[in-house]
Amino acid sequence: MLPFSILLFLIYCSGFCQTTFEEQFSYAKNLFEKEEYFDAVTEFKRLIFFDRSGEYKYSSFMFIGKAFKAGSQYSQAAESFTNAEISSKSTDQLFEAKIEKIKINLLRRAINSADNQLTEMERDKKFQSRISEINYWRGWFYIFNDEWGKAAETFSTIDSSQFLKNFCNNVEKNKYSVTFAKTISYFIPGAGQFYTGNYISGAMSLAYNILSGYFAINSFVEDRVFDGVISANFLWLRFYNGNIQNAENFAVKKNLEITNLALEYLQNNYEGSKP
Amino acid sequence: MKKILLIVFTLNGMIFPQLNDSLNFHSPDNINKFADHLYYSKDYFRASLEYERLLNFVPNDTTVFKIGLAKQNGKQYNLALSDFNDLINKKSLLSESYIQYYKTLFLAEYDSLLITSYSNRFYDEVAYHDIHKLYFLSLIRSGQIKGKDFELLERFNKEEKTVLKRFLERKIQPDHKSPILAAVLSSVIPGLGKIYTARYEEGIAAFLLTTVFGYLSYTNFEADHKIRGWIFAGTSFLFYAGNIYGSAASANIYNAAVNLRFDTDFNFYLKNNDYLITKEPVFK
Repeated sequence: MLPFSILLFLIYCSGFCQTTFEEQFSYAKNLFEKEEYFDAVTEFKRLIFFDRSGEYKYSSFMFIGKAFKAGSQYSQAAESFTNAEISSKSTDQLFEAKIEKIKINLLRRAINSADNQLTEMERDKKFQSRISEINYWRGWFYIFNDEWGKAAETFSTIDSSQFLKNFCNNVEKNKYSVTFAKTISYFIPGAGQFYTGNYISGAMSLAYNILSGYFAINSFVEDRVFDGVISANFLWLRFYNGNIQNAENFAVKKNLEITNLALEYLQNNYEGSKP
Repeated sequence: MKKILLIVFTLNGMIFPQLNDSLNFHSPDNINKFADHLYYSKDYFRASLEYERLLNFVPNDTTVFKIGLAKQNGKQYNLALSDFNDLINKKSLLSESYIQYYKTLFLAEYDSLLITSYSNRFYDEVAYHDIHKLYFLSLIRSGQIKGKDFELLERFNKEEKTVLKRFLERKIQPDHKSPILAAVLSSVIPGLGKIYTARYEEGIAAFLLTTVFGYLSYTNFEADHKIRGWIFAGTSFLFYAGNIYGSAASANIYNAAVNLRFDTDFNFYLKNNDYLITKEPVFK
């Protein structure tokens, strides 16, 4: 009876700490699930502070990162995922923390950091068994880097991402060619604006170029060479250059509208994993 | 055997509450430890909330002081002022509270309030010394320094004095440009006002554009192309008038940049030197 009682007592005492930390973890997690992110972060921080064994450190930092992410506090989220990386105890945990950090970097448009982290993971032998997941996020990296064609190519290598492949291909097809808009404006001033649907701007650009060109040529015809040079340089050339820049700007702006719409669609309607 | 069992469970009962207490995350002692940890991790908002929770268990002026400090560091200046003011009214932690009250006023850039509320009724010489310094720094920043105030420079050490004298010179005789002079210069020679405000490229461009379009207008009138003449004359006039206005604006922008540079340098120096305060609060 006595050894049994002592055993019971020891189990009871050693198990108590565990239970307390577990309870705190559940409490914090419950707050997170109820979307009370501020309080959830406080309680996870409390758990990390008192849990000297570090058992809950990784999970807590991951939840803190996700809570900050939900509140759009991306820098703090990235910091928490870095801490989770440091506290990870297995390759899987390390993988998850690194992917979360890449997602945050995509969201806060730290594109170069995301690129470097993905390259690092692609080269790391530890993660070779999960290369298709890395490729999946590489595809998202291309989306955020406005390289929709490359994104489609990357998603085509993943069986489960055919929807994203087709979607990216469509976006790429719908985009305007900036080079084409500029090139046609070299030949016919205003044509690039017409191509991007900005008809009034295109017509005005054409009119300015005709008028300033007339001023310059007429001055040369009347032997007022200096006038001709000045008119050609300060007026005609200025309007001609402006027309090309304008065509480029319109194409870039239109493309931005298209890609923003695409991203908005993915944000609201795509049900798979996304940053 | 029964006695032994009784002893075991009694021991269990005695030890359990202690364990329970040491691992109770929400015991006053643990709240205090956690709040201090948050404070030193620079999570000031959460730290202030934890200290406020602690106050519900153990009303304590040191905790109120810590709340004030957390709010001050979290840039909740008005709330911090209210906390330090409460302590001053209670005459608790008086010299520390006075220093932090004035430091908060300084950090919040309430220079006028700091200068008007400044008085000589302070608890000890250290507080007196530090508050004089903050008062002097406020005078420099707000540009309200007068003859007798310069004596307060003696409160600073040799190195601080040298730096502050340089800041004073920059404040009293700032390298400002006159907007009126810039406009007049540009009306005499287009672009000269811009050159005066150190915008050399814009000045040269303004001069060239105004004169070239003026010349084009002249030659077109001469060649009997009246419409073109008026178009170029109008363009030249627009450049001329725009340049006069732009020169005055450029002088104002130049002056704003000088002021901004002063504020940035002054605040950077003070921040890196703990606002030249001698007595820093220490958690007890």
